[in-house]
Formats: sequence, structure tokens, C-alpha cells
Amino acid sequence: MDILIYGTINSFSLALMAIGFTLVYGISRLPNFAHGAIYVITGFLVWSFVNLLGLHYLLGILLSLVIAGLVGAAIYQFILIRVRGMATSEIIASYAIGLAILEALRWKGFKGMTYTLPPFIEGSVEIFGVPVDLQRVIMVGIGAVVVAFLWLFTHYNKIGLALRGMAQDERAAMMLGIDSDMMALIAMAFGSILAGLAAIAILPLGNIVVEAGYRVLILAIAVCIVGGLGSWFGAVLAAFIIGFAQIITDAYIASHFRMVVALLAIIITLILRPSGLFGRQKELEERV
Amino acid sequence: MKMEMGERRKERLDRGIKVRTEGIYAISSWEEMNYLLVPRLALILGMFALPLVMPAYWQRVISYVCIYALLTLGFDFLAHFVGLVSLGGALFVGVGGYLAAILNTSFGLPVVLTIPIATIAGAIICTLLLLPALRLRGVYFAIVTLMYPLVLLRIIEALNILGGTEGILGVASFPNKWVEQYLIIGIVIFSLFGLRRLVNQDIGLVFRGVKDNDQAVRASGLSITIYKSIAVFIASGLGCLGGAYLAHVYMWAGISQFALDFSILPIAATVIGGGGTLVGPVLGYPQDRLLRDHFDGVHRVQKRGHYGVRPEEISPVRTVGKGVRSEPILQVKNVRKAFGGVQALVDVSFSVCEGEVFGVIGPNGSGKTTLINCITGFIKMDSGMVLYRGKDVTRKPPHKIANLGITRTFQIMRPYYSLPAYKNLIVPLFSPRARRTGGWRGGGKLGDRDTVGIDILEEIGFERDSFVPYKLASSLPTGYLKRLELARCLALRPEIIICDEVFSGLSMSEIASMVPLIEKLQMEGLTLIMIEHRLRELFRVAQRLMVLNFGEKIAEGVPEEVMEDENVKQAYLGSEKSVEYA
Repeated sequence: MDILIYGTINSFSLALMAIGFTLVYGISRLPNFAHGAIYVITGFLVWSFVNLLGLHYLLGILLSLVIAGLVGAAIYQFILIRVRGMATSEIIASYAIGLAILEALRWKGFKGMTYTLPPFIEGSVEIFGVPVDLQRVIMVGIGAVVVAFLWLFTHYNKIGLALRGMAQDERAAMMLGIDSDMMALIAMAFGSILAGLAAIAILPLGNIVVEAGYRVLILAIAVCIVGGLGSWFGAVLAAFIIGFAQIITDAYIASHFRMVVALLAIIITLILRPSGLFGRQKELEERV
Repeated sequence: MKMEMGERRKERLDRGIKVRTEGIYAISSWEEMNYLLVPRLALILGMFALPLVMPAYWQRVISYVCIYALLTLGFDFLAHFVGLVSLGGALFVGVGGYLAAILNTSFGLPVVLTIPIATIAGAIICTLLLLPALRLRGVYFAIVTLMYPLVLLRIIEALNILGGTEGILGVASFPNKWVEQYLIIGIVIFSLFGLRRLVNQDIGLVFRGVKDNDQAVRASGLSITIYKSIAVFIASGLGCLGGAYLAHVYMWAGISQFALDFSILPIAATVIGGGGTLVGPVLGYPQDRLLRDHFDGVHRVQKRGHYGVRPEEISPVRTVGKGVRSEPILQVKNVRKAFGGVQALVDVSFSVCEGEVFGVIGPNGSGKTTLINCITGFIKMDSGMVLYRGKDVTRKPPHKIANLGITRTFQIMRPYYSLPAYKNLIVPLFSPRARRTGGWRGGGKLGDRDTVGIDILEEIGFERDSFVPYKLASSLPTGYLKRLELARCLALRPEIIICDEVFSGLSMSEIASMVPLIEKLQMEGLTLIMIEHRLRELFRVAQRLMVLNFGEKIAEGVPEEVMEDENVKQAYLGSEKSVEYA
């Protein structure tokens, strides 16, 4: 029972971390390796707003999300737009941005165990005899809401539909009057807000540390690759696969191996089936 | 005036010699020699002078710079000459470092042994680790190489093996700092010039072929996996060497050797230094550039219109080959292939006799190209069988099939754009079959590949003493590229050539000269399967035809009969019935 419940919780946190990454990649084919940095920076922003400026917790969260979105948009508008279409350069550029943000935070003294966000509601409940604190329940709730919202947004909203059009065929979408760069910009902003949201939902469970940026990035990549880059349904499913695999490793082998599971998942998936579970990437069987 | 003519003629004769003897040509004057020598000497002497002029602190930096130089060389080689973007610097350094440390501390081997052993063994380990990922391209390969060091690092941490987070201490150091520094400087210079030489050797051209166009390399009878692994072996060897050296400099090997710096910094260095240059070629390339521009300029003056065969040579009647023998050379039985829900081929069967020209026609999307891809192994058929001289070749990989003598051209031409036309033929001439047969005219012995390549090109319509064979493939017009496709097949000395629309996209005069070429190939005893849309030309050369429609064979026989067939008329012109009902 423990495994089932904590597996579900872990899976939702992975899905939250990954959904922003997969959204950006799915729409604009940009691997945003600065994803983890945006996750961490949002955490520190909320902390600063609440503890340094004395704002209300909720207001701090909203402001931070807005800033995260702006940061994402700025990264695209000023840097990534120049290397778009060059896969390696996209990775190098976005990774460099992430590296710069994270190392700058470390340099400015945001390190150690002193930074924590308060949980939204204290206390815990018992689900089928397993004690779970409320923050984890809320996190699962946020995860479910985000997935549902994204589904509705992309199916019943003009911008959402345009984003899906871009994801399916960029050139055709451009011919129908959809501004490709604008949509990629929106996608980056959205993806960054989702990264921030993940941070806000997950970080109250522990400390805010710079290293989390790298970890979140790797987990997000693992989930997206296993699920198939750019496939949202695949990402959610993969989050559950990896989430449960991690918890099972925790329970039966050792918690040291948590990350090894994610990393091996990436390597094995890429070697066996590069397009992932639900990817649309054409394999070698293209027309020759 | 006469003088000028004479000079121009002399220049034309020299041209071929000049292009093919690039290296020797440069020695003709002091000016040229200095142009080549001075930058190289400056680099070598400059590097050797570094430890002497640098203050003490910087001497450690020299070691670092050299290790990064090795990694950068490996990255540049893989990325720009083989087409694999590797972020595996950390993997290579880590593996090399740990190996050297283990060999030194546990087995007590001295430095002179640990470094070479760690280099070779490390390269083997890295190549084996990356072997399954070799078929991945671009970003995917990059991500795998990036993840490996992280996995190894976490495993070492989690299992607490190899000294865990502490690392392996007490590794022996170098006898003195001069050995330490000159060793690595020597290695860097050696690797730099070694690699630079390698990429211009024939095997280097194969690597570049893999980068330019891996499918064409497979069609040339070479396994891309083998050549990619050789390249990865070389690059990871450089990295492991750096890692082993680093372990001895630090007198320690630990998990920080798997740090991503080793993966990322070489890229930064390559981006800043200019990709695809291997530093050395930075000096070599301008010269190449100059030569190329020079040639292009002269060519414009010298333009000539014909393609090797003069119009009067084209025979008006259909020539029949040396003799079509009745035994089938290729039998295709019940081939089926579906892409998702679309049936591309439904139970297609036919057989081709030796020495025959067999035409395959059909409307667009009728499965003609898919059929070729199935026969030559480029895609796996769902069911069915291909027999070549009675032997089953159904599920063999493309390079094996090419080595058996079944070659193909591509509908969309696939030359190696960054190589000159005659160098394009180095790749097929490197294949096992060409080594055995000696190329198109070879009597079982392969001569100098350049010469053989130019001979083949001449035979297929590239004028030997013009610029055309020496021009970059990217600057050739369609007509020549189609011929280059055929030349690639001929280099393997094939039994069967499967031509995918060799006439399409050609002008009337280009077609007019292509037809006799096909006839000539048949006269030589080759079997040809021709997929075509240009029926008039096909009827001139083909003895038999097969018609495909929606993946099914609807007719087969001699051209005249096939074109009278009701089904064929329907497929091409639409059904008369449907018109009535409409």
C-alpha cells in the first residue's frame, strides 16, 4: 500500500516537473535545458518575496510565476530564437543559460539547507492506513489540475489549438497564418510557468537547493524521452512508470539508486526505441 | 594568340595532375613551401616553448589546456567528420582516469604502462558502451553520451566501489614536471597532425561519407556501424588518454573526473575555434579554398555542353544486349510491406533474367521505390522472399546485399556533397567487394583508388581532362549527379543495378546521352532493373516491363503488350466505367 500511494505521489511530482519541458519541446521542438534553472529560481523568488519583502504567500507565488513566465519568454526572444533549428546549438545554448542561472545563484550565496518554503496547509491525513501529509495531497491535486487544464486549453481554446497546429506541422501552421515565433514564445513562457508551478507545489516538501535544478532537468528529460519527446500523454504515462520504478527501487534495493533508475531509463529507451512510447519521431524507416 | 592557346592547353593537361597531387604540387616553390611550413612550425615550436616561458603557476594550466585540447580534437573529429555529436568527454576522461588509477595502485604498474593500457582499454570500454547508441542521430546520441558519465558516477557513489566519493588516492606522479608537460604537449601535437592526416586518407573520406550521407555509404557496401565504432574508438581513446594523464597529474582519480565540464568545454572550444578544422586544417583550409575558387573561375570560361556521348552516336533502333539468358538472376516472391494501415506492397512477385533490362512502372505512390528498398535491404519487408542466384538474401542488411553485387541508385541523388566528384568513389571503392574485384574494370586487383575512380567517371561521361571530375559534388548539375549515382554502383562491379528514376529531372539532351549509356551497360552484361516514369526512353532499353498499382502487380510482359493491357490503361487513365457513372 505504501508503494502504491507514494508511487502515485512521486509520479505526479515527476509529471509536474516534466510537463513544462514536454510542452515546449512538443510545440517548438526546442529542448529547453534551462528548465531546471527556472524551477529553482522560482523557488528562490517565492522565498525572497515572502521572507525579504514580507509579501503574502499567495501574492508571492503569483508574482514569481509571472516572473518565471517572463524569464522563459526572454530566454526565447533574446537567445534561443537565434539558434532555432540547430539541434545541438539549442541544447548547448539553453544548457549554458541554465548553468549560468544556477551557478549565479550559488555564487550569490543561495546555498545550503536554510531555504525552505512553508507548506500550504500543515497536517496530514491517513489514506488506507498510510499517513500522508496534506502538502503531498495538494501536490497531487495541482498535478491533476494542470494536466486537465492543459488538455482543455489545447482542445477548446484558439491559442491552444494554434499551439497544437504548430506541434503537428510547423510549416502548414505558418501557411494558415499562425506566427511560429510568437507561438514558440508563448510555449516557452507557458513551459516556464509550469516549471515554476512544479517548484511551488514540490519545494515545500524539502529545501530549496541549487542542485535540484540539475536533478529536475534530468528527471524531466527522462520522463519525456521514455514517453516520447513531445507527446503529453506519453509524458504522463512515463512519469508513472519511472515514478513507480523509483519507489520500488527505494523500497527493495536502496534509495541511492533513485537517480540511476531515471538515467538508465533514458539510455535504455534511446537505445531500444528512440521515439519513446508515444513519440512521433520518424525512425530510420524514412523514405530513402 | 597562338602562345595563349598553347598555354591554355598546357594548363588543361596540368590540371588533373595538379588536383590529384595536391601535396607534392606545393613543393614546387619556396613560396608555396613556406606557406605550408611556417604556420605549422610556429604552432609546434610555440607549444614546445610554453613550459619554458610560463611562470610556475601557469605550468599546471598547460596540462589542463592540453587535456581539453585532446577532448576538443575528439569532439571536432566526431562532430564534423563523422557526424556524431558527442558530449561524452566526461565519460572518456572518467573511464581513462579510473583505469589508470586502478592499474597503478592495485597492480603496481608504472606510469609508462598505465597510460597506454588505460588509453586502449578505456577506448574499448567506451566504444562498447556507446555501440548500441551508434544508430542514433544528433540530439539523441548527444543525450546518451551525456547521461553515461552521470550513471557511472551515481553507481560508484551508490555502491561505494572504487573508493566511493573519496576516489582512489595515492596514484604515482610523473618523475618531474618537464616529463609531465612535454609528454602531453607531444601527445597533443601528434594527435593533431595524426587526425588531420587521417581525415584526408581514404578511410577519412569514408568517415566524411558517413557524415554526409549514411544511406549512400550503406548502398556502397560498407557497414556504417563499423566505421562509426572505429571513429568513436579513436575519439574516446584521445579522451581516455587525457583522463589517464590527469589521474597521474593529480595523483588521484575520483568522481569529479566524470564532471560535465569535460563534456561542455570542448564544445565551447570548438565553437570558438571554428568547427571542422581540427586546428591544423585551420591553416590548411584557406589553401584548399583558394584552389577551389580558382577552378570555378576557369570553368566558367571553359563550359562545354556535351556529356561524353555525342548525339550522332545515339542509335535510333533498340539495341538488344549481349544476350539475355533465360535463367533468373533475381527472384522476388510475394513481397508484402505495410506502413501503418497503408499497404505499400501486396504480394509482389517477379523474376529478372541475367543480362536483361527490366522496367518497373506505375503511377505515383504505387510502391515502386518501396519495392527497391525492400529488395536492397533498406527497409525490412513484412513477408516475402528475395532470391539472388538461388540464394536467399531476404533479410540481409543493405551493405551485405551491395557486397553481393546488387546495387542501387537513389531517386533523390545522394552524393557526398562536401567531396569532389572523384573522391565520391573512394567510399564504394573502400568496400570489401571493390577490394576483391578491383572496381568496374579491375581484374581482381584494386589499384590506386583515385585513379580507378577517375577511370570509372570517364567511362560514365565525366571528361577526364576537364574540371568536372575534380569539382565538389555540391556544384555539379543534376545530369552529372545522376551519372555519379551510377558510377557509385559501378565501382562495386555489380551484377545488378537497380535504377530509381535515372531519367527524371534531366533535360532532353541529358536524357539523349543517358540512353546509350544504359544500353552500353547492358551490352557489358549487366542486369538492370529500371524504375521509370519516362516511358518512351524506357521502351527503348527495356526488354520486359512490370506495372505496379497501389502496391499490386497488375501486368508483366513485353512493353507493347503491357501497354495494351486493360488494367494498365485503367491505372494510368482512370476507369472508363467510373466516367460513365459519374
